[in-house]
Amino acid sequence: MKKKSDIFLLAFSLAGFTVFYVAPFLRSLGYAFLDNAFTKRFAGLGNFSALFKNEYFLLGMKNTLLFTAVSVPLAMAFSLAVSLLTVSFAGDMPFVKGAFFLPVLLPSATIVTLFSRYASSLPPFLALLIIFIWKYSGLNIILMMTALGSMEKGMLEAAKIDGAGAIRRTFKITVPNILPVLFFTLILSIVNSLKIYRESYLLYGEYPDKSVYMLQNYLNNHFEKLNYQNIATAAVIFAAGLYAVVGILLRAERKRSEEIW
Amino acid sequence: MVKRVSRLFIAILAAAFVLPAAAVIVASLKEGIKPYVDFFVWEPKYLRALAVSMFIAFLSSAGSVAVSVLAAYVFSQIKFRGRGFLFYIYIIVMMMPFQVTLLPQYIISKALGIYDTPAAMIFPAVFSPFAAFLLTQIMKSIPRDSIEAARLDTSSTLKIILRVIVPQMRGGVVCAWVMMFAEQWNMVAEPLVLMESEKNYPLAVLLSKTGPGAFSFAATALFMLLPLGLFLIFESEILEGLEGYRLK
Repeated sequence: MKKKSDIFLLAFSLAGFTVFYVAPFLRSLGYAFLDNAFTKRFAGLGNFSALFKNEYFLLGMKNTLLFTAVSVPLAMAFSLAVSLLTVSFAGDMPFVKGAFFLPVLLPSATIVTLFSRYASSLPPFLALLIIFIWKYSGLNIILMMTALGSMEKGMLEAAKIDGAGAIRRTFKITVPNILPVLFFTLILSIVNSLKIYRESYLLYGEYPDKSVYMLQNYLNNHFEKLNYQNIATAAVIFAAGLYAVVGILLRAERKRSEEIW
Repeated sequence: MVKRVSRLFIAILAAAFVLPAAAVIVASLKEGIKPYVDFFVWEPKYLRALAVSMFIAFLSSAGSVAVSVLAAYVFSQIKFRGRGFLFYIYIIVMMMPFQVTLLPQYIISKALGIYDTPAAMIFPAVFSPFAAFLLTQIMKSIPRDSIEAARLDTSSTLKIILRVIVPQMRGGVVCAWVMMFAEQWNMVAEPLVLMESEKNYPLAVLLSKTGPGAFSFAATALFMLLPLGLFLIFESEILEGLEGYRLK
């Protein structure tokens, strides 16, 4: 019944996506294999081995990984806890969903202005962590609450009668039931945790404390110094990392929900 | 008892999420309305930057939703070879922070001659994969029967999308639009890389260079007014849109 020709409706998006993202990205990859932007000699993997000896690149990579590894699970756990508490005990409350979602739409400048005035003594890593959880949990919470609210209660009741405790019921029944939403919020949380550079830049400028010098700082600063081969090489490594992470996540999700794809 | 305590706890937590926005407004009024008068009367470059922000955010969010609704239809409703892989590429690009794509974006905006114009911000935003990803996820939950039924009346897919699918997922479309708007409104690093004339800078960039003080709080309060207003106007649509995202 569906028309195959409808596939062309994707053309607008795909054309722009290719012109503005894919093609220039592939074009910039060339720099990763040149010795510098002027002589343009092929450098093989020289840029890569140099980068892995660069202490700022390594520091940036370590901090980006650390921030993502700490902030994403924390934000997910916080959102899930709030959603579970609301759905299982507190029930529907007016304004609550809206209140949690509000920070998602608030500009970074707002929170940064406040933080630099009232909370400038906080350690930078902690400050960014708090901002991240505050700013982006709302989206997770709404999606999780909805999924929890529309879950069938029968299985939970049965498990309760069989004597399964609250924690066991949560991890054996509730969590597997809302897995697609958890997957969706996980992806969004990773995206947003990589955007924390914006707040970091507004709060601490281009050269922040060592504990929050991230790969994004490295890329930004080298762009200003016109070190194209450096940032192209770092971008390749970043993209390869994402490629692997998304691949693993998608594979895990597809196993769970064959029927969607 | 458990219900009472948890309701109280959730209420306090929710209040903490709203508090910062309120605190900015309170702090901006400490010296009366003088900083607001300064903003509108004595600091024309801030007003100009506000106009630039509006121009960029409205055009790019509207364009992005228009392009992405069509893309989401194809991704969610049509099976074709390579769909999974293509969507995978969209997700990876969506996850890349701007700093990773900064050199490519700089190269393409120079090549197309849009460097140092608002277009250098608008075009990448129109084609950014986020809206396509979000709308695809929401559109997957539209019952196929209603689309099949509409097929009997018209053979134009565009009509079906506009008259059947978009009205059914109105909340989702509004939600994607407002989120894209807020994202564009919030850009700081992008204009610094893609533009060099300060007269083209949006307000977010100017705010990042304003020192502390009542004026900065007033400017920040005015800056959050538009996203805040959109949120208050469209709150029920936004929540409904996200709630439409319901997979088994």
